[in-house]
Amino acid sequence: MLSLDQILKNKRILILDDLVEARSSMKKMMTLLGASSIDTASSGREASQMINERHYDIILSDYNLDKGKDGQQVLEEARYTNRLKSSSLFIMVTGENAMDMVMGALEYEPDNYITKPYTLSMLRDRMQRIFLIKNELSEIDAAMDAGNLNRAIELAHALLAEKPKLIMPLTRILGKLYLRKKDYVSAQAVYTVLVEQRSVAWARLGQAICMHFLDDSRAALALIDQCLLQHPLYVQCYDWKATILLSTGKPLEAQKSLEKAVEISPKAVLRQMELGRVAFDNGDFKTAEQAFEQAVRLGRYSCYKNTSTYLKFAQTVRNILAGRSDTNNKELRLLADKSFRVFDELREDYADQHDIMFDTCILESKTHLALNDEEKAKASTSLAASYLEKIKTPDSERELSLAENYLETGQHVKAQGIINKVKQKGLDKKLTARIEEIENNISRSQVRDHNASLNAQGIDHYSKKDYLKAIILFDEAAADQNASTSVLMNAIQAKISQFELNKSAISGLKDCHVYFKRIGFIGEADDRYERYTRLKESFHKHWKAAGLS
Amino acid sequence: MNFAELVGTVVHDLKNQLQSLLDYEHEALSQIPSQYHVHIFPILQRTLRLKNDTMKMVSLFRMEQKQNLISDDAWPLDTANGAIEVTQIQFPNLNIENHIAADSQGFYNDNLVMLALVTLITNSAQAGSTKIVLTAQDQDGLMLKIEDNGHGFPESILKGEKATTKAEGSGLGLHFVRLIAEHHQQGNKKGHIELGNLTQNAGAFVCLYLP
Repeated sequence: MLSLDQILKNKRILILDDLVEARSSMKKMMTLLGASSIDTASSGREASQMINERHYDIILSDYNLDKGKDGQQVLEEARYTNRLKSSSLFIMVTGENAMDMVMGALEYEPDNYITKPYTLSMLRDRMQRIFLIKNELSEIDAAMDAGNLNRAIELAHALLAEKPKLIMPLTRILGKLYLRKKDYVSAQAVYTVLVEQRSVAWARLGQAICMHFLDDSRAALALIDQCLLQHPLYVQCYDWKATILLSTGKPLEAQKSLEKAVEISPKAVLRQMELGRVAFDNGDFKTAEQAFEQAVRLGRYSCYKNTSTYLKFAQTVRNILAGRSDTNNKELRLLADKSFRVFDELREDYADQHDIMFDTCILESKTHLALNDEEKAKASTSLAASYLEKIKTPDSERELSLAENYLETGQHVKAQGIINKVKQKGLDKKLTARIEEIENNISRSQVRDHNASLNAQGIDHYSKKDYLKAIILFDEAAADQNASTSVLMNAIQAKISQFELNKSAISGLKDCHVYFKRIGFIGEADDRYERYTRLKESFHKHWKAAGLS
Repeated sequence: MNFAELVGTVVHDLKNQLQSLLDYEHEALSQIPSQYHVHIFPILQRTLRLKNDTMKMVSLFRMEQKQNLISDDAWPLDTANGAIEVTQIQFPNLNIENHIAADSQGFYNDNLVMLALVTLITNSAQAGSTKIVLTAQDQDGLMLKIEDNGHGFPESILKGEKATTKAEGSGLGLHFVRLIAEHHQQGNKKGHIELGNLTQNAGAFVCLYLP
């Protein structure tokens, strides 16, 4: 046997339990067993911080913690952020009631577990066993740390042949490695060997996952259901069931499965996010809202904090509000307030990220609008526009969002302006339908009135020989695809006049070329024929003189 | 919340309270001069007994609910040591020998099997045994054997006609151990127990087979 006090002497240990008696009792026992440097934490949040700040060789964590994260989340975050070396040990301390969940994790499983209640000598025996196994697996761990998966697999098979009693830990490792390599045939083979000898729930789930990836989703679902009959609290089964159901086009059933998973184990951020996404797509905004709210709350002090969760929450709330006429009702006001608090939090944390601020303002505007507060909605939209200007290369999707918001707040001209800009960039096929929809909703008369006013102002500046200002106004009016021939000719005339004043304004001439194309053919009978011919002649003269052809 | 969950919550708290009671008693023992231990010891013995009863109740409840109590790699030496630790406090004069090899390994629910061993040791002690020997074999499943130097089982029990040797005994002890054994199933193999007497009236034995 290994000498436990020799092993523990130099190990840095973290004990996590929300109950003070349990914490001090574990600390005392570990000290009696030879440990000398022990830290303690009373909440998942505190533990995660400590794990981020320093390396621990052994973490002993209670599974059920009162508030916030559970031990499982602390473990997942520590692995996700690579704060655990494979030589480290994460040991879950758990009652019998959580065993299904603790042992069932295939991806983020603890290195080992200790069941409560335990005495000093039981803890000693258990720690001895844990180190013995860890010791046996050390070469494999090293290969995994070095990123050499094939070597790790080879070593694991060799060790299994030599020591068949290690079949449980080795199957776990082999299954995980094969899954990581997407070698589902081999993964299924190792799980099956184990299942044939022993009824092990996680190996069954492993088999089911392989079946799914090997395109037999029906068999996979049947196996998972069978497993759930025996282990109704095996939460990871519900997660995988949802994944498989989604992939087979059954989103409503997938949502049911995720709801069950969340009911059993509500503290996992990623699971709440997934439920939110699926429910949102299913149009079940009530469920989505609750899930996203939990995801925001649970993720706030975790590595999974994510602005898209915040925005998805706000979007869901907005969708709920938009479907209701009684938005003054207290419950809905409270709901809206939650959204506004989310916006405030985003402003506090991401003030310098213009894209996030833009998305925030857009949703804020929509929320105001859902509450029938058009003034505030307009203000938020203007704010969104100012953030969009600060983004160096704004994407068309965001520009169209702004156009939609302009439309929603009755600012048709501005909406048209954005559409014109997006169209000038060249059309992305994916956006065609969206653009069309926006344009269909833009009020022609509003835009026409606005362009008429631009044209009138342009004429005014032209007559004062302020061609540059005139050009800006005429160009803006001409940006409308339905701009009249007179507006286009005004623009041409202003550009030619400016060229005559300053021969370096060649780009203006090129614009004229485009405008003539848009005007097309004008026959002699047309009232505008004379003006058209005159402009065309001057244009050709300057065009040749400038050496263009 | 349904009935089962409600019971679960209450029992969970009961277990926690008993555990911290035990912790306080151990703490007291370590702080108080040894001549006074005699006053604490009966309290400790009864607390342990209460805890065992609670654990039994929880296990029976879970098995009754058809909940699958998970099995995993387990080491009979450790399981037996745990059972001995508990029973030795109850029966300080009982001589328990653990002859199980350190590398002997099984696949079972550690808590359940420990409770089974505690029950069997307690039965022997209450039936007047002064010495108990524990052994194990781990070829083709696991066999745990507990031998005592008591009076042995009467014919009626061995034939299955009666369940207890104790005047006030309920016979639940052996029944509980049998339930635990049968809870362990691998494929079509099911756990079971075997009772017998050693030759020349030298005592009784119980074998616990776990597939």
